[in-house]
Parts: sequence; structure tokens; C-alpha cells
Amino acid sequence: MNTLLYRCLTLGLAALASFAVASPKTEVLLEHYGDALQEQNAEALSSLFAPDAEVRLLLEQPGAEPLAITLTEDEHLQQLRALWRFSEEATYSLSDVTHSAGADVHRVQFTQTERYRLFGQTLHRDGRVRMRVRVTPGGLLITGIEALISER
Amino acid sequence: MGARGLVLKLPTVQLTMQLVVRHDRFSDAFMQKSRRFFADQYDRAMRSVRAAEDDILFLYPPPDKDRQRYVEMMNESRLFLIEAGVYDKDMMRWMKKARCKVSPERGECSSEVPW
Repeated sequence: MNTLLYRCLTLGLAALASFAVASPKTEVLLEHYGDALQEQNAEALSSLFAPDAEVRLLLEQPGAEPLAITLTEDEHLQQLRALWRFSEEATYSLSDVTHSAGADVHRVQFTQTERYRLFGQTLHRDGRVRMRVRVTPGGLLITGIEALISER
Repeated sequence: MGARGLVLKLPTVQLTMQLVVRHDRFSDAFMQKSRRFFADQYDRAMRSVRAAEDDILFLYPPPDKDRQRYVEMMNESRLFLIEAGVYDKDMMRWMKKARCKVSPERGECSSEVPW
């Protein structure tokens, strides 16, 4: 009985240790994610994603359900490159960040605020983002993003 | 644009280029070199494709709710063109194998239809 209790305690402590160690790592990942966006560095951004990552955009529409579009990582990066190419004064900020850590998968939620000038107009885009992060031997990789996006 | 509209990314046509030579007039080494040359052009061609794609804003695949409908529409068009004799059946059989190897979850992959 004592052995069982000891094992449970050990496993519990290991899980707590995993949480304590993993949470700061997702903070570092998110910092790199924000830097890559701000620097408009598609290569650096790509290195943060798993090859099979999916990005699900939920585009808010007036008077209707959000339009859901699922992109591969490649399609997502292509759109960012096109946006960076045509826009001016693009700025990104991340706020309201929360982290939660599991054994193999971590989750990060944050608000991504974008502002840029496109074809003479200033556009604001707010996204409530839920990011899934996989723990790999080589470090943390983003495996999925779901973003509820509104434009104004 | 963006939330108000998008450019639909949907493959509808596949272009191929083939160089056909009389094998009895060229050495094996020349033909092997030619194959290597064309294979080596892949990265260059993809750079052109990516550069062209980077000129298109809001180039998205169909919305999730419409995706299956578009796949079915393309399947129907392909079957029509095969049955009308426009597409070569052997080629289409190989292309189905290629599609199902890359994306085995496609509905057509569990179908008995050979192309």
C-alpha cells in the first residue's frame, strides 16, 4: 500500500514538475512567434510549426456564423508573405496570454492584434487565438492554431 | 477582402510538359542526363509558382463547409472527361494512385472506380 502511495506521489510530483518546466517554454515559443511576425520573417515562423500543422481561421461575418477555413502551414505562411508584401506599417501585438501544459501537448491562448495599411486603407484585425503545441525531442512545435478573427 | 471575400484556391487543371525522343537515335547516357536535367528543374519551377502565389492576397482553400462539395464537383468533372475520352484511362488510373498515396482519406480512395 505504501509502495502504491509512493508511486502515486512520485507520478503526481513528476506531473507538477512537467507543468512547471513546460509553461515557461511555451512563453519562449510565443515570444519567438511574436518576434517572427513583427520582423515579417516567414522562415523563422515556419521553424516554429510542425510540418503537419493546421491553421483554422474563423472569420467573423456580420449577421452570420463565422466562416471557417482550414489552411495548411504552407498556405498560412503564403498568405502572410503576400500580406507583408502588399501592406505597409504592419504591426502585431500579443496580449491576454494564458498557458496550460500537459504531458505531450501544451495549449496557449492569447489575443493577437494586427494593424496595417493595405491599398490606402488602415485595417485592424483582432484574433482570439488558441494554439496547440507539441512536445518533441527537439523542442516545442506548433501543431495547430484556431483563431476567431474580426476586422474593423 | 479578408472577412469580406477571398480568392479560391482550388486546383482545376494540371499542366505537364513531356519531351519525347526517338530512343534509337540517342545514347542511354544522354537520355539519363536529360531526365536528370528535367528533374532538377523542379525546385526552380516551384520557386516561380511560389513567387506567383505571393502576388495573391487572401488566396484560401474553400471554406470548410463547402470543401466536400467542391471535391465531389471535381470528381464528377473528371469522370465525365474520362468517359468522354478526353482523358487517358491509364494515366487517370496512375493519377488516382498518386492522389490516394498522398491523401488516403479522400472519399474516392475507398471507391471501386479505378480512376
